[in-house]
Amino acid sequence: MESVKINNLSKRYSDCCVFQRINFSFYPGKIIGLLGDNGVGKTTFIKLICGLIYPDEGEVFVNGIDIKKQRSKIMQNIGVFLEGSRSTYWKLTAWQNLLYFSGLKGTFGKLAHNRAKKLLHIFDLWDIRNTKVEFLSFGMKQRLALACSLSHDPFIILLDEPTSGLDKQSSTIFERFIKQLAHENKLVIIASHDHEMIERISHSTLIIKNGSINHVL
Amino acid sequence: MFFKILWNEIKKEILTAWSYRLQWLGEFLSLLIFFIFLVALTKEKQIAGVSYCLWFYSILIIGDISGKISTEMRSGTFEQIYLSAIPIPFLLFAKVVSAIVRSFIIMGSLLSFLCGLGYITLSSLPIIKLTYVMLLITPGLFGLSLFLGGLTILLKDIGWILNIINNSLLFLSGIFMPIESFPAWLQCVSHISLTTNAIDLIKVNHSNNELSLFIISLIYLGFGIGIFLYCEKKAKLRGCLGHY
Repeated sequence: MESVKINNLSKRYSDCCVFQRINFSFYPGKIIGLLGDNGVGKTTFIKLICGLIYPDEGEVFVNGIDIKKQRSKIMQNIGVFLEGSRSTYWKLTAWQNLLYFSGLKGTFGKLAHNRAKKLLHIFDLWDIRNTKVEFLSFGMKQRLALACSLSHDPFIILLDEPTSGLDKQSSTIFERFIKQLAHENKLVIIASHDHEMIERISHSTLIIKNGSINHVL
Repeated sequence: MFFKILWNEIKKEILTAWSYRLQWLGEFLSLLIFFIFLVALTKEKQIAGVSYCLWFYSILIIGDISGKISTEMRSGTFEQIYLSAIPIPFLLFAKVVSAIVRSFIIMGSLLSFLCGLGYITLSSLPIIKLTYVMLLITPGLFGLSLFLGGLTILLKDIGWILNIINNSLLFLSGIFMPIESFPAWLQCVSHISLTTNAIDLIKVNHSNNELSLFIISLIYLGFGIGIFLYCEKKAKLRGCLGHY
């Protein structure tokens, strides 16, 4: 069964057509790269899948459930990275943020603690776990935001520009981790400007242009 | 899981609010200064104190969701809470709970402080009734808060609407002058406000009034939820949920 199914989806913003009757299915265990110029709708595409934006026409099904009608039901299975470093609470510590975001999706107790520990080690944030986010560097905030989006161990991971602001070493760690997620049979969709990174890690690449997904490599 | 998520949100709100504890002191001081002026103007100090606390409680809850939505939009976390595993109005209620805790701490401190100064006597204050009436109007205040929260999602900056509501409530609640001295039409308008009805209930003891106040409170709640869901749907269609 497909993890994400997009049916005849159309989206317009005033006089600008972003998507015109697109159809797609994405399956578990795949990494999908999303490329396109600024303003073509990469972020809109990600937000349509997780229900933060409603389509004008068409439906999005996640694990067979209509995201518009039963959003809460499916949110435990979706991890979304948006807005990068700004999507965490700066007055809380890295540890508190991770536990808060896993709790928001319904993961608590030992499970949440173990997952948080694992992610802090993977993203090299363990030493600063008790530091408030406002005192972290941009790259650290970015890595923490990534960790938060994955803190509840979701099956479907949607990432919008996840590597912007990351140094080379952090990007390498990130790429390795994303490949690991695909091995665990999870679906990862990454929107990025970084063609090279997308080519390196994705199983298929979608290019958004002129209101449609024009090219699949 | 549902209650755990609510508790998770309350905990985060309290932790975040504690980071801004100087703001609590500011709220306490402004409340105190206002109250001292009020005491100088009125003879019925006990009723004035209770009415003023009710007004403060009302404006704190009514403006809470809108304020928090604005803050989260500016900081970039608003869309994150939309990815929660429970419906958003419940999550927003958890946010309001932290405002209720805050208002009780500030009001408790204020009343204790005023008792200490001899302005009012603790034994003559209807503390239990005041708390009970506050609980009766909380659903309605939450509804109004959701209504303004919905407008914030769509219009983004509604500070001016909040100012109008806060000032209107202050005068229409009869804190400065008795409602009976208002023209008839203004008396009718003032009774639209939950705070006015709550203050009336504290002044006169009648069980029928309690029931009708609670029903009005529930009507406000239903209205607030309806408007909030409508605004949320519109914002999602426009793609402007997290914009500020």
